[in-house]
Amino acid sequence: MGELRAKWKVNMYAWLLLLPSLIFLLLFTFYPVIQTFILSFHQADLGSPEPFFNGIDNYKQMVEDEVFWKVLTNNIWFAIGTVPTSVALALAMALFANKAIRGKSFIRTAYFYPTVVPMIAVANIWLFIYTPEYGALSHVMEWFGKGDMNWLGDQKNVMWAMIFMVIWKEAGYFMIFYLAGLQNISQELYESASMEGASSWTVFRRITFPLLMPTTMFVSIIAFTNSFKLVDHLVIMTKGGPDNASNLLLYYIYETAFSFWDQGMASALTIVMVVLLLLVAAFQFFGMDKKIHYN
Amino acid sequence: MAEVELRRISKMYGSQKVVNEVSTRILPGEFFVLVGPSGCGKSTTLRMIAGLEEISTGELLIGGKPMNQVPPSGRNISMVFQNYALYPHLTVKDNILFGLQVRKVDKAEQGKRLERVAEMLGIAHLLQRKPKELSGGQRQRVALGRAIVSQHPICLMDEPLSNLDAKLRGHMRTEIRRLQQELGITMIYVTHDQVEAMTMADRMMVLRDGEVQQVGKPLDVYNHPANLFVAEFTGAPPMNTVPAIWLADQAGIELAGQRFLPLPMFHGIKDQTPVVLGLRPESLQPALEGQSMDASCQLPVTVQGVEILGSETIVEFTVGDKLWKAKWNGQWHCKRGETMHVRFDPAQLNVFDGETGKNLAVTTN
Repeated sequence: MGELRAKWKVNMYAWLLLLPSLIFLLLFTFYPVIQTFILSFHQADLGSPEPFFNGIDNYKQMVEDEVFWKVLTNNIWFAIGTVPTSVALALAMALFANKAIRGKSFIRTAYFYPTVVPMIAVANIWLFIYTPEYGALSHVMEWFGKGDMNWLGDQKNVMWAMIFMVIWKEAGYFMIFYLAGLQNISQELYESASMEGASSWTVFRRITFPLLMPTTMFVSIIAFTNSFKLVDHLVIMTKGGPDNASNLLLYYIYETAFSFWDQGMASALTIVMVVLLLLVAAFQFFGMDKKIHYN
Repeated sequence: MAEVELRRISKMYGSQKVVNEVSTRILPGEFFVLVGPSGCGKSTTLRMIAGLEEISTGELLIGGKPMNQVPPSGRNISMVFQNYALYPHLTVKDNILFGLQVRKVDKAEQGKRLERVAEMLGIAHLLQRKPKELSGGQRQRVALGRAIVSQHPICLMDEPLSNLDAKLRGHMRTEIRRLQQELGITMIYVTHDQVEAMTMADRMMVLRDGEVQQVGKPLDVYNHPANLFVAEFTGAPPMNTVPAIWLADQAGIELAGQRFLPLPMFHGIKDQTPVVLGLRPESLQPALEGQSMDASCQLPVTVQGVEILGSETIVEFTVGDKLWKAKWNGQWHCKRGETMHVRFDPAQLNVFDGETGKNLAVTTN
């Protein structure tokens, strides 16, 4: 009896300590998630004064909606384009910044700088770079005798332009994690490898890279969620155009909810996105985690 | 062969000289220990031999060939690091084989060597484990295994036992010594622990502030320390010392103006020279009543403290203004404040120059 009471007391103490953050989590995370889930089975647009239950109609409509599929494929290409490249680039920059003998802090600052700039400002800078005729990129193209290109106005180019910009923006941020990871690797390991005469490629492949795997794992999850989360630039640069060529899932959700005011549909889209992200994160976590060495 | 020769090797960091013109010749199959307090340059010297640190001035020869410009992997050397430097993500097996894989040694040969090393060190049952699943002693063995498996004729060790507890350290000392003798490799071993140096070395080099103090067999260094520093660095407890004045006319010594001690031995020291007397704790023995006094000197002392360790007793008393310790076998129940006589054989006395600290009785080397 006494034991049970003691246990209860300990548990109570733990719950009390958790309470403050739990209240906020419930209020601003769990409750909205549940509400969104419920709303996704309702019709809640400007045509219906009160939301009413319509089963899986929203999901049915979504499957038939061409724009949804377009936006989803866009987003998958966007992820494929940004995640591996920015992670690889971050690793390369970290290796370089770590090795550099002169101007170490300058190199780090230069690499990290795009991270500090707000996305809205970045979008405006790149909007100027990509502008046809008098944009920075157009000038450079002219020097090489190439014709003018409308980067953001062309359905074929707009996604590449976005991918390039986001890589530029993100790689420096991921580099910081890699730098920290590199500094955690004992110098003795490298000295030991040099006693054996291992080439720098062997050292990277067999020591540095495997020991950085936890960082790579963490960074790639962040990069992947970012590829779904980062849509600020669309507001400034293209609004998803031309003809949805640069539109991404989250921006589409935003438009559906706050431009078309179809909240039921927006909720259904949100649920799809959350499930998608969870699936990928779960795969990365449970599938790859076993192969990673943690200290 | 695997002879290592250091010719006036120095290391400078900027204008600071951390190793100053160290010269010595380490013979094939020798267990050579570099010993000294922390910051004396012993690790730096070792790292210069390994090639991990550039040699500022001087020349390093291995097997008669100059090695200054040769990268570590070309020096025919293996090394055991202080923190073992095991790759945390690789199994014991892969850790041991890493070097052989890098050098693309034949697979069958790798297997043979691994088996032999694992058996020799008793780690055959650990091969599939990761380093974090091993105890300190086991990690130490794996690190040793990695050095041995390369079959290099020279092995360097940088304080390999400093992370182990006292009991295991004693055990590993004998084991490393046994391995070295069995394999006939040249061992260069760095430690700050004079006990390790005394028990393991064929020859030892005592370093202080980057300067060589003495090179020699452990017992020679112990019995005939080249200077005051070596005398006080070796032995536990270290050598007792006290400043005194040499009186040539009376053939003896005056201790801090209090006491005259006739010493028939040393000649050739100028009258009135300030000197430092040094005497090992075990050279001081209790003078029992009725014992003849010939050929031994006696000192009346007042006991300041007693430590009874079971097999031996350490008795403390002051001589001049210095606290001396005497180590006697067995258990002696002396009391603080008790007056007694201690005797010593003048032949075991060391006399050091009061200014330079040099041993006046021995010449170095």
